[in-house]
Amino acid sequence: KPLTLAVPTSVDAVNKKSVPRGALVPITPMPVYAQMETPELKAQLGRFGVRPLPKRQMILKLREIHQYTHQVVSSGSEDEATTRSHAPPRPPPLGEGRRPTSTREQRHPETGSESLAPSQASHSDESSSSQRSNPEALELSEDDDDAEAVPPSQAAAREAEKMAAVKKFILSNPDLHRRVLLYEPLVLSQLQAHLKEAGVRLGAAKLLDFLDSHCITFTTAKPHRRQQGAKKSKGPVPKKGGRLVS
Amino acid sequence: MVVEVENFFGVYMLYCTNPKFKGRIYIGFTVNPERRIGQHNGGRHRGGAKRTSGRGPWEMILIIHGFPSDISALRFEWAWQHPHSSRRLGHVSRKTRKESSFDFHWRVVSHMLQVAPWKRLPLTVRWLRQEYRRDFDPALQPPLHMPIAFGSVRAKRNKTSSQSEDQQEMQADRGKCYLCKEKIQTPTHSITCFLPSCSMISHVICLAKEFLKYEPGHLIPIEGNCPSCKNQVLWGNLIRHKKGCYGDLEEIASSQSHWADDL
Repeated sequence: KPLTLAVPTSVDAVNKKSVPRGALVPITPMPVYAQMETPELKAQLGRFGVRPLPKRQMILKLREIHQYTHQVVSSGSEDEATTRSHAPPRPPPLGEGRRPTSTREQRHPETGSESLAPSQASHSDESSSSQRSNPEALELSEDDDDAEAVPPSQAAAREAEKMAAVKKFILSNPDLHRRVLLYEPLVLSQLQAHLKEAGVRLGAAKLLDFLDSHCITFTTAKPHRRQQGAKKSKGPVPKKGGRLVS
Repeated sequence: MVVEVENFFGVYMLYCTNPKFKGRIYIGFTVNPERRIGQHNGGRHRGGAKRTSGRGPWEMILIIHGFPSDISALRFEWAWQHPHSSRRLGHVSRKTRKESSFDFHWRVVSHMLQVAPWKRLPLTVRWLRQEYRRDFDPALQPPLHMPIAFGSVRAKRNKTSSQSEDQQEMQADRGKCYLCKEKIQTPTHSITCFLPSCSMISHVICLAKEFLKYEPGHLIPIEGNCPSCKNQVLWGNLIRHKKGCYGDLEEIASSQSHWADDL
Protein backbone atom coordinates (compact mmCIF):
# COMPACT_ATOMS: atom_id res chain seq x y z
CA LYS A 1 0.00 0.00 0.00
CA PRO A 2 1.39 3.38 -0.86
CA LEU A 3 1.76 5.57 2.12
CA THR A 4 0.44 9.08 2.09
CA LEU A 5 2.54 11.09 4.43
CA ALA A 6 0.63 12.54 7.26
CA VAL A 7 1.70 16.13 7.17
CA PRO A 8 -0.97 18.71 7.73
CA THR A 9 -0.87 21.33 5.05
CA SER A 10 -3.73 23.71 5.51
CA VAL A 11 -7.21 23.82 6.82
CA ASP A 12 -8.45 23.69 3.25
CA ALA A 13 -7.52 20.09 3.18
CA VAL A 14 -10.50 19.24 5.29
CA ASN A 15 -13.25 17.46 3.59
CA LYS A 16 -16.31 18.99 5.08
CA LYS A 17 -18.95 17.13 3.17
CA SER A 18 -19.78 14.02 5.08
CA VAL A 19 -18.88 15.15 8.52
CA PRO A 20 -21.48 16.16 11.05
CA ARG A 21 -21.21 19.75 12.01
CA GLY A 22 -19.25 20.37 15.11
CA ALA A 23 -17.46 17.03 15.16
CA LEU A 24 -13.72 17.05 15.53
CA VAL A 25 -12.10 15.43 12.54
CA PRO A 26 -8.44 14.87 11.92
CA ILE A 27 -7.18 16.97 9.08
CA THR A 28 -4.99 14.18 7.91
CA PRO A 29 -6.05 10.65 8.64
CA MET A 30 -3.65 8.55 10.62
CA PRO A 31 -1.76 6.05 8.48
CA VAL A 32 -2.52 2.44 9.30
CA TYR A 33 0.70 1.82 11.15
CA ALA A 34 -0.39 -1.63 12.24
CA GLN A 35 -0.23 -2.82 8.67
CA MET A 36 3.20 -1.46 7.88
CA GLU A 37 6.26 -3.60 7.57
CA THR A 38 9.07 -3.16 10.01
CA PRO A 39 11.46 -1.30 7.65
CA GLU A 40 8.73 1.15 6.82
CA LEU A 41 8.01 1.71 10.48
CA LYS A 42 11.68 2.32 11.13
CA ALA A 43 11.77 4.89 8.36
CA GLN A 44 8.70 6.62 9.73
CA LEU A 45 10.20 6.85 13.19
CA GLY A 46 13.48 7.98 11.74
CA ARG A 47 11.75 11.09 10.48
CA PHE A 48 11.22 12.09 14.07
CA GLY A 49 14.66 11.09 15.15
CA VAL A 50 13.50 8.05 17.04
CA ARG A 51 15.72 5.02 16.89
CA PRO A 52 14.26 1.67 15.81
CA LEU A 53 12.21 -0.13 18.43
CA PRO A 54 10.42 -3.44 18.57
CA LYS A 55 7.63 -3.47 16.03
CA ARG A 56 4.70 -3.13 18.36
CA GLN A 57 6.30 -0.29 20.24
CA MET A 58 7.05 1.46 16.99
CA ILE A 59 3.40 1.29 16.04
CA LEU A 60 2.33 2.68 19.38
CA LYS A 61 4.97 5.38 19.30
CA LEU A 62 3.98 6.46 15.82
CA ARG A 63 0.36 6.71 16.84
CA GLU A 64 1.32 8.78 19.81
CA ILE A 65 3.43 11.07 17.67
CA HIS A 66 0.62 11.36 15.21
CA GLN A 67 -1.79 12.40 17.88
CA TYR A 68 0.51 15.07 19.17
CA THR A 69 1.57 16.43 15.82
CA HIS A 70 -1.68 16.55 13.97
CA GLN A 71 -4.47 18.96 14.15
CA VAL A 72 -8.12 18.37 14.30
CA VAL A 73 -10.63 20.84 13.10
CA SER A 74 -14.14 21.39 14.19
CA SER A 75 -15.97 20.69 10.98
CA GLY A 76 -18.73 23.06 11.96
CA SER A 77 -16.72 26.22 11.60
CA GLU A 78 -14.42 27.53 8.98
CA ASP A 79 -12.06 29.80 10.78
CA GLU A 80 -8.54 29.04 11.82
CA ALA A 81 -9.35 29.68 15.46
CA THR A 82 -11.15 26.42 16.00
CA THR A 83 -8.30 24.41 14.69
CA ARG A 84 -6.47 22.99 17.59
CA SER A 85 -4.07 20.39 18.54
CA HIS A 86 -5.55 17.00 18.91
CA ALA A 87 -5.66 16.05 22.51
CA PRO A 88 -5.08 12.33 22.82
CA PRO A 89 -8.50 10.79 23.27
CA ARG A 90 -7.30 8.48 26.01
CA PRO A 91 -4.16 7.64 27.92
CA PRO A 92 -1.41 6.55 25.57
CA PRO A 93 -1.79 2.91 24.64
CA LEU A 94 1.07 1.81 26.82
CA GLY A 95 -0.14 3.79 29.78
CA GLU A 96 -0.66 1.91 32.94
CA GLY A 97 -3.18 4.19 34.49
CA ARG A 98 -6.76 3.30 35.15
CA ARG A 99 -9.05 3.92 32.31
CA PRO A 100 -12.17 5.85 33.11
CA THR A 101 -14.92 3.40 33.81
CA SER A 102 -17.38 5.15 31.62
CA THR A 103 -15.41 4.43 28.50
CA ARG A 104 -14.91 0.80 29.25
CA GLU A 105 -17.52 -0.41 26.89
CA GLN A 106 -16.70 1.87 24.06
CA ARG A 107 -14.36 0.76 21.40
CA HIS A 108 -12.03 3.49 20.38
CA PRO A 109 -11.58 3.65 16.67
CA GLU A 110 -7.93 2.84 17.07
CA THR A 111 -8.34 -0.12 19.31
CA GLY A 112 -11.04 -1.43 17.11
CA SER A 113 -8.66 -1.81 14.24
CA GLU A 114 -5.74 -2.56 16.41
CA SER A 115 -4.81 -6.12 15.79
CA LEU A 116 -1.90 -5.75 18.12
CA ALA A 117 -3.43 -4.54 21.32
CA PRO A 118 -0.99 -6.32 23.53
CA SER A 119 -2.37 -9.25 25.44
CA GLN A 120 -5.92 -8.50 24.48
CA ALA A 121 -5.14 -10.11 21.19
CA SER A 122 -3.65 -13.17 22.74
CA HIS A 123 -6.58 -13.22 25.08
CA SER A 124 -9.43 -13.24 22.72
CA ASP A 125 -7.48 -15.89 20.98
CA GLU A 126 -7.29 -18.15 23.92
CA SER A 127 -10.26 -17.56 26.04
CA SER A 128 -13.75 -18.75 25.68
CA SER A 129 -15.29 -15.66 26.95
CA SER A 130 -16.05 -13.74 23.84
CA GLN A 131 -19.61 -14.92 23.87
CA ARG A 132 -20.13 -14.21 27.50
CA SER A 133 -21.12 -10.85 28.73
CA ASN A 134 -19.28 -8.72 31.16
CA PRO A 135 -20.49 -9.52 34.66
CA GLU A 136 -19.29 -6.14 35.79
CA ALA A 137 -21.40 -4.31 33.27
CA LEU A 138 -24.43 -2.38 34.37
CA GLU A 139 -27.42 -1.14 32.61
CA LEU A 140 -26.69 2.38 33.48
CA SER A 141 -30.03 3.54 34.59
CA GLU A 142 -28.13 5.68 37.02
CA ASP A 143 -30.78 6.38 39.52
CA ASP A 144 -28.53 8.84 41.08
CA ASP A 145 -29.42 11.30 43.65
CA ASP A 146 -27.45 14.46 43.97
CA ALA A 147 -28.97 16.53 41.26
CA GLU A 148 -27.78 19.84 42.62
CA ALA A 149 -24.15 20.66 42.38
CA VAL A 150 -22.31 20.04 45.60
CA PRO A 151 -18.76 21.00 46.44
CA PRO A 152 -16.41 18.01 46.23
CA SER A 153 -15.75 17.91 49.94
CA GLN A 154 -19.44 17.72 50.69
CA ALA A 155 -19.98 15.21 47.95
CA ALA A 156 -17.40 12.92 49.51
CA ALA A 157 -19.00 13.26 52.90
CA ARG A 158 -22.39 12.53 51.43
CA GLU A 159 -20.93 9.53 49.69
CA ALA A 160 -19.56 8.15 52.93
CA GLU A 161 -22.87 8.78 54.61
CA LYS A 162 -24.63 6.79 51.93
CA MET A 163 -22.26 3.90 52.20
CA ALA A 164 -22.87 3.85 55.91
CA ALA A 165 -26.60 3.88 55.24
CA VAL A 166 -26.33 0.86 52.95
CA LYS A 167 -24.36 -0.99 55.57
CA LYS A 168 -26.87 -0.07 58.22
CA PHE A 169 -29.68 -1.23 55.98
CA ILE A 170 -28.08 -4.64 55.56
CA LEU A 171 -27.37 -4.96 59.28
CA SER A 172 -30.91 -4.02 60.18
CA ASN A 173 -32.43 -6.63 57.91
CA PRO A 174 -31.63 -10.05 59.42
CA ASP A 175 -32.62 -12.09 56.39
CA LEU A 176 -30.54 -9.99 54.07
CA HIS A 177 -27.71 -9.89 56.56
CA ARG A 178 -27.69 -13.69 56.82
CA ARG A 179 -27.70 -14.06 53.07
CA VAL A 180 -24.65 -11.85 52.90
CA LEU A 181 -22.93 -13.83 55.64
CA LEU A 182 -23.67 -17.09 53.84
CA TYR A 183 -22.17 -15.65 50.64
CA GLU A 184 -25.45 -15.91 48.79
CA PRO A 185 -25.42 -13.64 45.74
CA LEU A 186 -27.62 -10.57 45.94
CA VAL A 187 -29.59 -9.32 43.01
CA LEU A 188 -28.31 -5.83 42.44
CA SER A 189 -31.51 -4.34 41.08
CA GLN A 190 -33.57 -5.79 43.91
CA LEU A 191 -31.25 -4.47 46.55
CA GLN A 192 -31.27 -1.10 44.90
CA ALA A 193 -35.07 -1.07 44.91
CA HIS A 194 -35.25 -2.08 48.56
CA LEU A 195 -32.79 0.61 49.47
CA LYS A 196 -34.86 3.13 47.63
CA GLU A 197 -37.92 2.09 49.60
CA ALA A 198 -35.90 2.63 52.73
CA GLY A 199 -35.00 6.09 51.53
CA VAL A 200 -31.45 5.37 50.42
CA ARG A 201 -31.11 6.44 46.83
CA LEU A 202 -27.95 5.19 45.27
CA GLY A 203 -26.75 4.69 41.73
CA ALA A 204 -26.07 1.15 40.60
CA ALA A 205 -22.39 1.86 40.09
CA LYS A 206 -22.00 3.19 43.62
CA LEU A 207 -23.87 0.25 45.04
CA LEU A 208 -21.66 -2.08 43.07
CA ASP A 209 -18.59 -0.38 44.48
CA PHE A 210 -19.96 -0.82 47.96
CA LEU A 211 -20.69 -4.52 47.49
CA ASP A 212 -17.30 -5.08 45.91
CA SER A 213 -15.48 -3.36 48.72
CA HIS A 214 -17.13 -5.76 51.14
CA CYS A 215 -16.56 -8.74 48.85
CA ILE A 216 -20.29 -9.35 48.67
CA THR A 217 -21.29 -11.37 45.63
CA PHE A 218 -24.05 -9.96 43.52
CA THR A 219 -25.57 -10.59 40.16
CA THR A 220 -26.81 -8.08 37.68
CA ALA A 221 -29.10 -10.73 36.27
CA LYS A 222 -32.82 -10.73 36.71
CA PRO A 223 -34.10 -12.55 39.77
CA HIS A 224 -33.31 -16.22 39.74
CA ARG A 225 -34.80 -18.33 37.06
CA ARG A 226 -33.88 -21.46 38.92
CA GLN A 227 -33.97 -22.08 42.61
CA GLN A 228 -30.57 -21.68 44.16
CA GLY A 229 -29.15 -25.14 44.56
CA ALA A 230 -32.51 -26.85 44.48
CA LYS A 231 -32.27 -28.57 41.12
CA LYS A 232 -28.55 -28.66 40.87
CA SER A 233 -28.07 -32.27 41.84
CA LYS A 234 -30.00 -33.45 38.82
CA GLY A 235 -27.55 -34.17 36.08
CA PRO A 236 -24.37 -32.24 35.55
CA VAL A 237 -24.35 -28.64 36.51
CA PRO A 238 -24.35 -26.57 33.35
CA LYS A 239 -20.81 -25.49 32.91
CA LYS A 240 -21.44 -22.02 31.76
CA GLY A 241 -24.72 -20.33 31.81
CA GLY A 242 -26.23 -17.08 30.85
CA ARG A 243 -26.91 -16.29 34.45
CA LEU A 244 -24.91 -13.16 34.34
CA VAL A 245 -26.49 -11.65 31.31
CA SER A 246 -27.76 -8.30 32.28
CA MET B 1 -17.32 -42.27 37.07
CA VAL B 2 -16.12 -38.94 38.17
CA VAL B 3 -18.12 -37.74 41.08
CA GLU B 4 -20.34 -34.76 40.67
CA VAL B 5 -20.40 -32.52 43.65
CA GLU B 6 -22.22 -29.37 44.45
CA ASN B 7 -20.45 -26.32 45.67
CA PHE B 8 -17.11 -26.77 43.99
CA PHE B 9 -16.38 -23.72 41.88
CA GLY B 10 -12.94 -23.24 40.45
CA VAL B 11 -11.21 -21.07 37.89
CA TYR B 12 -8.26 -22.77 36.27
CA MET B 13 -5.34 -22.10 34.01
CA LEU B 14 -4.49 -24.47 31.18
CA TYR B 15 -1.04 -24.60 29.69
CA CYS B 16 -0.53 -25.89 26.19
CA THR B 17 2.24 -28.42 25.78
CA ASN B 18 1.75 -28.94 22.07
CA PRO B 19 5.05 -27.81 20.50
CA LYS B 20 3.14 -25.95 17.82
CA PHE B 21 1.26 -23.84 20.32
CA LYS B 22 3.53 -24.20 23.30
CA GLY B 23 3.01 -21.79 26.11
CA ARG B 24 -0.51 -20.79 25.25
CA ILE B 25 -2.74 -20.19 28.19
CA TYR B 26 -6.43 -20.73 28.62
CA ILE B 27 -8.47 -19.52 31.56
CA GLY B 28 -11.70 -21.33 32.35
CA PHE B 29 -14.31 -22.05 34.97
CA THR B 30 -15.28 -25.47 36.18
CA VAL B 31 -17.27 -27.34 38.78
CA ASN B 32 -15.23 -30.45 38.14
CA PRO B 33 -11.59 -30.04 37.16
CA GLU B 34 -10.99 -33.68 36.35
CA ARG B 35 -13.83 -33.87 33.92
CA ARG B 36 -13.03 -30.49 32.44
CA ILE B 37 -9.44 -31.24 31.47
CA GLY B 38 -10.64 -34.41 29.78
CA GLN B 39 -13.11 -32.37 27.79
CA HIS B 40 -10.48 -29.86 26.73
CA ASN B 41 -8.15 -32.59 25.56
CA GLY B 42 -10.96 -34.57 23.99
CA GLY B 43 -11.70 -31.74 21.59
CA ARG B 44 -14.77 -29.84 20.71
CA HIS B 45 -17.01 -32.83 20.09
CA ARG B 46 -16.32 -34.02 23.60
CA GLY B 47 -17.19 -30.79 25.25
CA GLY B 48 -13.88 -28.99 24.95
CA ALA B 49 -13.85 -25.29 24.25
CA LYS B 50 -13.41 -24.20 20.67
CA ARG B 51 -10.19 -22.42 21.46
CA THR B 52 -8.56 -25.43 23.02
CA SER B 53 -9.88 -27.94 20.55
CA GLY B 54 -7.27 -29.51 18.33
CA ARG B 55 -4.45 -27.65 20.02
CA GLY B 56 -3.84 -30.03 22.84
CA PRO B 57 -2.54 -31.57 24.83
CA TRP B 58 -3.30 -29.09 27.57
CA GLU B 59 -2.31 -29.36 31.16
CA MET B 60 -4.36 -27.93 33.96
CA ILE B 61 -1.65 -26.39 36.04
CA LEU B 62 -3.32 -23.99 38.43
CA ILE B 63 -6.76 -23.62 39.93
CA ILE B 64 -8.22 -21.05 42.27
CA HIS B 65 -11.07 -22.64 44.18
CA GLY B 66 -13.28 -22.05 47.16
CA PHE B 67 -15.62 -19.59 45.48
CA PRO B 68 -18.89 -19.53 47.34
CA SER B 69 -20.99 -19.58 44.18
CA ASP B 70 -20.80 -20.00 40.44
CA ILE B 71 -21.60 -16.33 40.06
CA SER B 72 -18.60 -15.39 42.10
CA ALA B 73 -16.30 -17.76 40.23
CA LEU B 74 -17.57 -16.69 36.83
CA ARG B 75 -16.85 -13.10 37.58
CA PHE B 76 -13.35 -14.03 38.67
CA GLU B 77 -12.90 -15.92 35.43
CA TRP B 78 -14.11 -12.97 33.41
CA ALA B 79 -11.78 -10.55 35.11
CA TRP B 80 -8.82 -12.89 34.74
CA GLN B 81 -9.56 -13.14 31.05
CA HIS B 82 -10.18 -9.42 30.63
CA PRO B 83 -7.96 -7.67 33.16
CA HIS B 84 -7.85 -4.47 31.18
CA SER B 85 -11.60 -4.21 31.02
CA SER B 86 -12.27 -5.08 34.64
CA ARG B 87 -13.09 -2.15 36.84
CA ARG B 88 -11.11 -3.73 39.68
CA LEU B 89 -7.87 -4.22 37.78
CA GLY B 90 -7.17 -0.81 36.31
CA HIS B 91 -3.79 -0.81 38.01
CA VAL B 92 -2.58 -3.96 36.30
CA SER B 93 -0.31 -3.04 33.44
CA ARG B 94 -0.41 -4.75 30.12
CA LYS B 95 1.65 -7.73 29.18
CA THR B 96 5.17 -6.75 28.37
CA ARG B 97 6.95 -8.10 25.39
CA LYS B 98 9.38 -10.06 27.47
CA GLU B 99 6.67 -11.57 29.59
CA SER B 100 5.32 -14.97 28.68
CA SER B 101 1.60 -15.46 28.58
CA PHE B 102 1.94 -17.66 31.63
CA ASP B 103 3.86 -15.01 33.57
CA PHE B 104 1.37 -12.37 32.58
CA HIS B 105 -1.62 -14.39 33.72
CA TRP B 106 0.19 -15.23 36.92
CA ARG B 107 0.79 -11.55 37.53
CA VAL B 108 -2.85 -10.76 36.83
CA VAL B 109 -4.16 -13.38 39.22
CA SER B 110 -1.69 -12.29 41.89
CA HIS B 111 -3.18 -8.83 41.70
CA MET B 112 -6.70 -10.18 41.71
CA LEU B 113 -6.24 -11.97 45.01
CA GLN B 114 -5.18 -8.70 46.57
CA VAL B 115 -8.15 -6.59 45.61
CA ALA B 116 -11.85 -6.48 46.29
CA PRO B 117 -14.14 -8.25 45.61
CA TRP B 118 -11.88 -11.29 45.91
CA LYS B 119 -9.42 -10.52 48.68
CA ARG B 120 -11.76 -11.56 51.48
CA LEU B 121 -13.12 -14.71 49.87
CA PRO B 122 -12.17 -18.11 51.27
CA LEU B 123 -10.06 -19.05 48.26
CA THR B 124 -7.30 -21.57 47.81
CA VAL B 125 -4.51 -21.22 45.29
CA ARG B 126 -3.67 -24.69 44.07
CA TRP B 127 -0.87 -25.78 41.81
CA LEU B 128 -2.20 -28.89 40.20
CA ARG B 129 1.16 -29.47 38.57
CA GLN B 130 3.93 -28.63 40.89
CA GLU B 131 6.55 -28.46 38.14
CA TYR B 132 4.90 -25.24 36.91
CA ARG B 133 4.75 -23.62 40.28
CA ARG B 134 5.58 -19.93 40.49
CA ASP B 135 6.22 -17.99 43.64
CA PHE B 136 4.25 -14.88 44.34
CA ASP B 137 6.12 -11.68 43.76
CA PRO B 138 7.01 -10.37 47.23
CA ALA B 139 4.96 -7.27 46.52
CA LEU B 140 1.98 -9.36 45.44
CA GLN B 141 1.60 -11.81 48.29
CA PRO B 142 -1.93 -13.15 48.61
CA PRO B 143 -3.93 -12.51 51.78
CA LEU B 144 -2.77 -14.68 54.66
CA HIS B 145 -5.99 -16.62 54.91
CA MET B 146 -5.62 -18.06 51.42
CA PRO B 147 -3.69 -21.30 51.49
CA ILE B 148 -1.35 -22.26 48.69
CA ALA B 149 -1.82 -25.94 48.01
CA PHE B 150 -0.25 -28.51 45.75
CA GLY B 151 -1.56 -31.51 43.94
CA SER B 152 -4.82 -32.41 42.33
CA VAL B 153 -8.14 -32.46 44.06
CA ARG B 154 -11.34 -34.13 43.32
CA ALA B 155 -14.57 -32.84 44.69
CA LYS B 156 -16.24 -35.73 46.43
CA ARG B 157 -19.74 -36.05 47.59
CA ASN B 158 -19.88 -35.67 51.30
CA LYS B 159 -21.83 -38.66 52.50
CA THR B 160 -22.47 -37.23 55.90
CA SER B 161 -23.73 -33.91 54.74
CA SER B 162 -27.43 -34.64 55.03
CA GLN B 163 -26.79 -36.40 58.30
CA SER B 164 -24.95 -33.49 59.75
CA GLU B 165 -27.75 -31.23 58.69
CA ASP B 166 -30.15 -33.40 60.62
CA GLN B 167 -27.87 -33.25 63.59
CA GLN B 168 -27.64 -29.55 63.22
CA GLU B 169 -31.37 -29.33 63.11
CA MET B 170 -31.73 -31.36 66.28
CA GLN B 171 -29.10 -29.34 68.04
CA ALA B 172 -30.65 -26.16 66.84
CA ASP B 173 -34.04 -27.21 68.10
CA ARG B 174 -32.71 -27.45 71.57
CA GLY B 175 -30.02 -24.92 71.06
CA LYS B 176 -29.33 -21.66 72.65
CA CYS B 177 -26.89 -19.32 71.05
CA TYR B 178 -23.48 -19.67 72.68
CA LEU B 179 -23.03 -15.92 72.42
CA CYS B 180 -26.32 -14.16 73.09
CA LYS B 181 -27.86 -17.08 75.03
CA GLU B 182 -31.15 -16.61 73.22
CA LYS B 183 -32.98 -19.55 71.69
CA ILE B 184 -32.15 -20.30 68.06
CA GLN B 185 -35.46 -20.31 66.26
CA THR B 186 -34.58 -22.27 63.16
CA PRO B 187 -31.51 -24.13 61.90
CA THR B 188 -31.12 -21.65 59.08
CA HIS B 189 -30.16 -19.08 61.71
CA SER B 190 -27.53 -21.26 63.32
CA ILE B 191 -23.89 -21.96 62.74
CA THR B 192 -21.75 -24.57 64.44
CA CYS B 193 -18.04 -25.11 64.88
CA PHE B 194 -16.82 -27.84 62.57
CA LEU B 195 -14.10 -29.15 64.83
CA PRO B 196 -15.15 -32.60 66.00
CA SER B 197 -14.38 -31.91 69.63
CA CYS B 198 -16.40 -28.71 69.70
CA SER B 199 -20.15 -28.34 70.00
CA MET B 200 -20.39 -24.59 69.81
CA ILE B 201 -23.62 -23.41 68.24
CA SER B 202 -24.67 -19.82 67.76
CA HIS B 203 -26.61 -17.46 65.60
CA VAL B 204 -24.90 -16.79 62.29
CA ILE B 205 -25.20 -13.09 62.94
CA CYS B 206 -23.88 -13.28 66.51
CA LEU B 207 -20.79 -15.20 65.47
CA ALA B 208 -20.13 -12.84 62.59
CA LYS B 209 -20.24 -9.93 65.00
CA GLU B 210 -17.87 -11.72 67.34
CA PHE B 211 -15.42 -12.39 64.49
CA LEU B 212 -15.62 -8.81 63.27
CA LYS B 213 -14.72 -7.34 66.65
CA TYR B 214 -11.37 -6.23 65.34
CA GLU B 215 -12.48 -5.10 61.91
CA PRO B 216 -15.86 -3.51 62.55
CA GLY B 217 -15.87 -1.81 59.17
CA HIS B 218 -16.54 -5.07 57.41
CA LEU B 219 -19.65 -7.13 56.92
CA ILE B 220 -18.32 -10.62 56.21
CA PRO B 221 -15.61 -11.97 58.49
CA ILE B 222 -12.55 -13.72 57.15
CA GLU B 223 -11.70 -15.71 60.23
CA GLY B 224 -11.88 -15.75 63.98
CA ASN B 225 -11.48 -17.86 67.07
CA CYS B 226 -14.33 -20.15 67.97
CA PRO B 227 -15.72 -18.69 71.19
CA SER B 228 -15.94 -22.16 72.70
CA CYS B 229 -12.88 -24.18 71.61
CA LYS B 230 -10.80 -21.09 70.83
CA ASN B 231 -9.42 -22.57 67.63
CA GLN B 232 -8.92 -20.24 64.76
CA VAL B 233 -11.38 -21.03 62.01
CA LEU B 234 -12.08 -19.54 58.62
CA TRP B 235 -15.53 -18.07 58.15
CA GLY B 236 -15.64 -19.67 54.72
CA ASN B 237 -15.10 -23.10 56.26
CA LEU B 238 -17.85 -22.55 58.82
CA ILE B 239 -20.23 -21.69 56.01
CA ARG B 240 -19.11 -24.71 53.98
CA HIS B 241 -19.71 -26.81 57.05
CA LYS B 242 -23.13 -25.30 57.47
CA LYS B 243 -23.98 -26.09 53.87
CA GLY B 244 -22.75 -29.64 54.30
CA CYS B 245 -19.82 -29.39 51.98
CA TYR B 246 -16.91 -28.86 54.31
CA GLY B 247 -14.03 -31.22 53.67
CA ASP B 248 -15.50 -32.53 50.47
CA LEU B 249 -12.20 -32.28 48.67
CA GLU B 250 -10.12 -35.37 48.25
CA GLU B 251 -6.45 -35.05 47.49
CA ILE B 252 -5.35 -37.11 44.54
CA ALA B 253 -1.79 -38.22 44.03
CA SER B 254 -1.82 -37.52 40.34
CA SER B 255 -4.76 -36.37 38.36
CA GLN B 256 -3.54 -38.18 35.28
CA SER B 257 -3.53 -41.64 36.73
CA HIS B 258 -6.83 -41.09 38.42
CA TRP B 259 -8.39 -39.76 35.30
CA ALA B 260 -7.36 -42.99 33.59
CA ASP B 261 -8.64 -45.10 36.44
CA ASP B 262 -11.99 -43.52 36.12
CA LEU B 263 -12.45 -44.55 32.52
